[in-house]
Amino acid sequence: MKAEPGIVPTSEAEDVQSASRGDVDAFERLYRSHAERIHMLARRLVGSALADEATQDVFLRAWIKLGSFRGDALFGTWLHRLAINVLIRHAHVARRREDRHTALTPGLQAAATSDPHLRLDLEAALGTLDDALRQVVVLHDMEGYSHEDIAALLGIGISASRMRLSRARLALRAFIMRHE
Amino acid sequence: MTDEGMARGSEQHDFVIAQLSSLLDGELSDAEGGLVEEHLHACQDCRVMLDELRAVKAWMSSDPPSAADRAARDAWHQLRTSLPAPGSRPRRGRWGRGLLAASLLIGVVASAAWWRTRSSAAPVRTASRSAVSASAGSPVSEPLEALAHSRLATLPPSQSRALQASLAIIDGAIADARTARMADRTNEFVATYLDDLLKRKADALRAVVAMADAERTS
Repeated sequence: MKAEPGIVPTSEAEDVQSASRGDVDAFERLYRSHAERIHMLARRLVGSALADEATQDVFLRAWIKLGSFRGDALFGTWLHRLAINVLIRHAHVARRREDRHTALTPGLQAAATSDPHLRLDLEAALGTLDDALRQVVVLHDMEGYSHEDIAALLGIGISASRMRLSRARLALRAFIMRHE
Repeated sequence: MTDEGMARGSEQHDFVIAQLSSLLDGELSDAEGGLVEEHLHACQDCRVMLDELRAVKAWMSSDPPSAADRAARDAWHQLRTSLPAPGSRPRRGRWGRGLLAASLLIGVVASAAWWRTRSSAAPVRTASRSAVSASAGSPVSEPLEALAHSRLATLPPSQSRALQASLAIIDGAIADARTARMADRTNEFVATYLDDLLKRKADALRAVVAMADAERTS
């Protein structure tokens, strides 16, 4: 594995190298550093009810695929992109199982936030979107990806990404109007 | 306005609505931006919609980490048990080993106690059961623990050592679970796991007592 000083922080680079050789303690440090952010991404893409399971799956895949991390980007960036791919598959499976509605159970949402009404509304609003729209608005407005990145991640065109974002925002606006 | 003019106005309105999102993100060309701005100047509905979309965008970007997001860091032990070893060979984690040891101990001890009880037809003392029920909270009470350890000394040395080693493994798993529980009291998995371990240990201690009693009366 190539670790470039200055690109990957030394301690994290060492942990990545050790973890790729099977050091579970090093992987635990990586997990604890990134679990919160990945769980937040999971909550946004697949909903709170499935976020725990999906987060575990992301890190399981990361453990298995760690050998393919070449160190030419931050580990967090690599992990985040891996997570998006895993979570999109989770969302697809969840949709097929028709479990999505379970993810919007008010009790579960209320337990996961200091401001349950706000988070419930936000996640309920996201839950009304088709996966294609939800993924784009989460990645663009919540995760800060550009349309170029989203297009590459989702395998769609840049104009399609812009169109989906527009439709998603309009749908979210309509959701707010209905619930005000 | 003629029908044709109204239709053109409606088309322009729909076009502008589709562009508002890109306007918010500063992604329109000068020509597109000029057209949209011109329409906005004359259309209050679209101005209101632009403000509402701006609020939607701000709403999306203001989602802070939740308690569940923060708690995800403490779910490491759950993940660790499912990590395959390098080379993709499935590996059982430390907690998994603890559960396995507890299960084995309970299985071995309970089977042995049952067999000895059956073969000797000796009544199984119930002192340990009452000690457990008298404890508040944890099913592993101090009297039960003391009773079981005193009974261990009465068993054959090799059997006693094997049982003590197994109990030590369960204790290690319980200590790990307690540490994790202290770190995150909201983690239901850890709480359930700890409760399960304590119940298994209580069952094991009771089985040790019954086994020793059966040994003594046989």
